[in-house]
Amino acid sequence: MPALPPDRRRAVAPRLGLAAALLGLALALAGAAAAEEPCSPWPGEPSPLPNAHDTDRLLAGWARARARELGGVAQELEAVRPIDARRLWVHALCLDPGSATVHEGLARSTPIRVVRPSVVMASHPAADAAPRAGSLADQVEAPIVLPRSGAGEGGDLGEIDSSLRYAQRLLQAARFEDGLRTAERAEQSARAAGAGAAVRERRARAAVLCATAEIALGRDAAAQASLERALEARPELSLDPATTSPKVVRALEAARAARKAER
Amino acid sequence: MRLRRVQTLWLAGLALGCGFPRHAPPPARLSVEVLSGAPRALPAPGRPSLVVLVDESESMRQRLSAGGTRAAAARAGAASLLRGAPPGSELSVRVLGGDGVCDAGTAIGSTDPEILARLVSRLEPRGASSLAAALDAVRAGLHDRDRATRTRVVAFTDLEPRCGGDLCAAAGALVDAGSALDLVVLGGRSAPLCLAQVEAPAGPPSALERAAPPPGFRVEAEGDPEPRVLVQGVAGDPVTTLPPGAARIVLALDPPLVLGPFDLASGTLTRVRVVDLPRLGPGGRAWHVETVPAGEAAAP
Repeated sequence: MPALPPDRRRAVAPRLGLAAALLGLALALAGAAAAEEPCSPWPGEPSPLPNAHDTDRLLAGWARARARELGGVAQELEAVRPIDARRLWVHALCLDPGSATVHEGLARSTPIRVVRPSVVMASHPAADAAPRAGSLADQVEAPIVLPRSGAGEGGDLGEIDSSLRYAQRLLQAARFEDGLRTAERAEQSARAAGAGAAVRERRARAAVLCATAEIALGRDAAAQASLERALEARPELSLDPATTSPKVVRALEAARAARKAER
Repeated sequence: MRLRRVQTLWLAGLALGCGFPRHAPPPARLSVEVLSGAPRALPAPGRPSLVVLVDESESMRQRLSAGGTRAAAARAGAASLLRGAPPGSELSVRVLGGDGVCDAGTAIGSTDPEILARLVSRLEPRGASSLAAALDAVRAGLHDRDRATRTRVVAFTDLEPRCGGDLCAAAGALVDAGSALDLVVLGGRSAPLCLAQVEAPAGPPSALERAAPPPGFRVEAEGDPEPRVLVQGVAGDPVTTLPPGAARIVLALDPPLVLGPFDLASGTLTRVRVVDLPRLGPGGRAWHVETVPAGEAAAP
């Protein structure tokens, strides 16, 4: 195990390969070079810092007891001062490398945790309002509950509408690439949301926004394809000339004509 | 007759003047060492501080396989966490996304978790912010070390790197400042592996930065009707000398520890070593007394 940089000893990881990280830390602490840095004695401790395997039985006993003591302090601090708790667990590992309690504490107190909570849909819209139980650290890992309000057919129309409004704003601000990307995502979301009338109406609107951006970007073929998708979703679709670019209106009518000709 | 008396007195004087000092027993020697631990009472840990980062960048509009969008999950998770924070927690929220381009997001503040949760619930994904810049901004806002060490930063994000920035450097700086970081990842993007290299700074937390002063001790002669202190000192002092004889050693611990009586023999070195970890209760105390014979006691 190479010695870690002297200014920063960074060894252990969160969920990302916790076992490997703990092994890495244990190896680091076992190494002679590492023993000088993370395992240097704290104020009031004997120097060099003894550990539970010291040949002096009293020092070995002190090291075991000190690790137990620091573990107790760490547990008291974990909820409020997690990094302080982490420092205590790391030092306790120097004192008693074989302690299962210390290893559990280290596993609990990783400085950076990468959490991927499960997302579940709840029947009651208010389900997500309920506070979670446990410490903050536990709550972070709890499943995220999304309300199933308006679920089923077009369950996330609110999100889709929000995306459509945002795409519209981006186009008005002449941010055509951003608007196109947002409209495409909204269309994808609408496709995934079902096949009901409300959903199809959103799909058509999203496709028209895609076409609007593509026409502005000079991508006429892509715009044609987008408008065909819009008509597929809503064959009777018509656009208000007062609020829609004449180019888009004309392109829609061209797409409709092409569609009829194909039939 | 007179001459014999003079001879006797002369011999007695010679014996008193020269002979006795040569045969006076050398003193006993004593060393006392105490291996102590944390004080029985430590300062209260204080109020927890929670900083919630809600990524409402445009990329969060993407749907999750379980249903709903990343943004909806982020809002729900953040709102639930805020509502579930321990009473009295210091709370703050930073929203990533909005009108700025790859900025550090916008902080919204309230002391009321319900108000914050409702504000979060009304957010709408747009724009993009840099998670790294947001973490830097959070760290800059934690003005004092005490606040920083009480802070857990929880970021609900999809880790889309549209705005770039060095996430590992920002996360490392935050941990160096004393705060923990939870990245709640929504979507399938992997976290940078360099995050696994981030470790808490070495050294004791502030509550243990100063060692308790070493305890004092005294040695009392054994057998006297009234306690008679032969010598007193402080644990860890150099070897002290004292008249040989039976004695007890009293250490000023909490509660006091009385060892002995021992026969502190002339010329010997008595080494007393005590382990005292008051937070562990009676099981946190042990001692070992060793007597080094006169011939071997030259070196303490």
